[in-house]
Amino acid sequence: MSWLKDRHYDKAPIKEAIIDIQVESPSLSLANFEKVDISLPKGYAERRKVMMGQLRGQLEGGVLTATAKQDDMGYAFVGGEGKHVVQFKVNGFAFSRLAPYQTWKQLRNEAKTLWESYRQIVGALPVVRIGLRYVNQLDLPLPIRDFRDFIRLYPEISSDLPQLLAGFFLQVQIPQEDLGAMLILNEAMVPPSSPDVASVVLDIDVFKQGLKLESDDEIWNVLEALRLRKNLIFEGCITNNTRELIS
Amino acid sequence: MPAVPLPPFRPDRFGPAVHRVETPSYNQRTSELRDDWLRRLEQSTFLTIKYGLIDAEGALDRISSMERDWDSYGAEPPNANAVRASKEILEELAGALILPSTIVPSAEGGISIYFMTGHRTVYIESYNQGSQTLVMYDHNGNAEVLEIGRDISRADVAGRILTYLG
Repeated sequence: MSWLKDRHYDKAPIKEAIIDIQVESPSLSLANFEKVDISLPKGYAERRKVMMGQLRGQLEGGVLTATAKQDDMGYAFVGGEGKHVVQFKVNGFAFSRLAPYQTWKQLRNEAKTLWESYRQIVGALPVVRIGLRYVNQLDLPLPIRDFRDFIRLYPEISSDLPQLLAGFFLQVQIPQEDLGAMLILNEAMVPPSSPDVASVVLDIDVFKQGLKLESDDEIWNVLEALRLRKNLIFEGCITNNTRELIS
Repeated sequence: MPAVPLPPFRPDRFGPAVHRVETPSYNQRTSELRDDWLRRLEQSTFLTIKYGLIDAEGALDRISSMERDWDSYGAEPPNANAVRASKEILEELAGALILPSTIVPSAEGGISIYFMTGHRTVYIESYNQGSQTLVMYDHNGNAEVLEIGRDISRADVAGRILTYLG
C-alpha cells in the first residue's frame, strides 16, 4: 500500500480539507480576536463571526420559518477568492481549503502562515489536539449494481431484506494505535450533484488529542504523519473503479 | 473416541476485532453522537453550506405549499415565480458562503430571506410578480432599499450583504 500514500488524482473528490489545531486556553475570550484582521495575511479582509449556520424549520403562530443558531466562538475570515476559510476561536484554530483542492504543500504552507498570526494573538499556549480532516464527495454513476463496486466501507444489508437503499449514515471510530491517534470516519449518502449520479460523502477525520505540544515543529510533524495515514485510509475505502473515476 | 479439545477463544480471529466497547449507555451515546455531528458540521464550511442550503430549500418548499389568507389578512401565498427566484438567489449566496438566518412568506405576496447580525439586518424579498428587492436596515432606523437588476446587479448582491453586515 505504500505506493498509495502519495497518489495524486486529477479529479480528486475533495470538497474541503481542514487543519484543526486546538489549544489549552483558560484565559482566552472573544475580545482577544477583535482586531485580528490587522495581523492576517493579505486577502483575508472578509470577517465573519463564527456561527453555527444551522437552519431549522419551525412553525410559530402559523408562520413557517427557518432559523439559524448563532454561537460566538471566535471569528472566521474568508480569503483565497472564497476558497480559504480560517477560524480563530477561543479554543483553537482551523483552516479550510474548499474545492478545487490543490496540493498538500499549498494547504500546509497557507495554514502555517495563518497559524503564525494566531500564535501572535494567543501567545505560546500548549497545543492539546491536532486534527486533519478531508471531506470527499464521491459522485458514483447510476445505475449502481452494488456499492461494493465503488466503496469498501458500506452498510451491509442482509439478503433477507429488500435491497433498495434510499440513504444511509455510517460512523466508525477506529483507533490508530501505532500513531496514538484516532480515526472518525463518517460516510453518508447526500443529495446528488446531478441526476445521473449517487453522491456519497466520505468524511475522514484523523486526530491526536491529549497532547501538550509547545513547539511548532512538533505540530507540523504530527500533521505530516496524519496526512500519510489519511491517504491510506482514503485508499482503503475505495476500489479501482473509483480510482478510475477520479483519475 | 477421545474428545477433541476446543481451541481457546480468540476474539482477534473475528474481523473487525472488538477489544473494548466504549458505550456506557444508549442515551449517552446518542447525545454524544448528536453533539459530535453538530461540531463536525460547524467545523466544515462545505457541509455547513451544503446542509444549510438543503434546509433552506426545504423551508422554501414548505412555504410554497401555504394557502391563500395564510396570515388571516388575505395575503397571497408565494407562487412559483417567487420560489424559483428565491432558490436562485439562495444558491448564488451559498456560493459566496452566505446562509440565511430566516425565511418567511411575505404579506405582500412572495418570500423574504433574512440575514442578520447583531445590529443590522438584510432581507431579500422576491415578489410573486417577479421583481426582487434588497433591503438593509439597522437598529437606529437607517434603511436602504435597492431593486435587484435596476439599482444593483444580481452578481453584486453577495458582496453588498457582506459589506453591510460586516
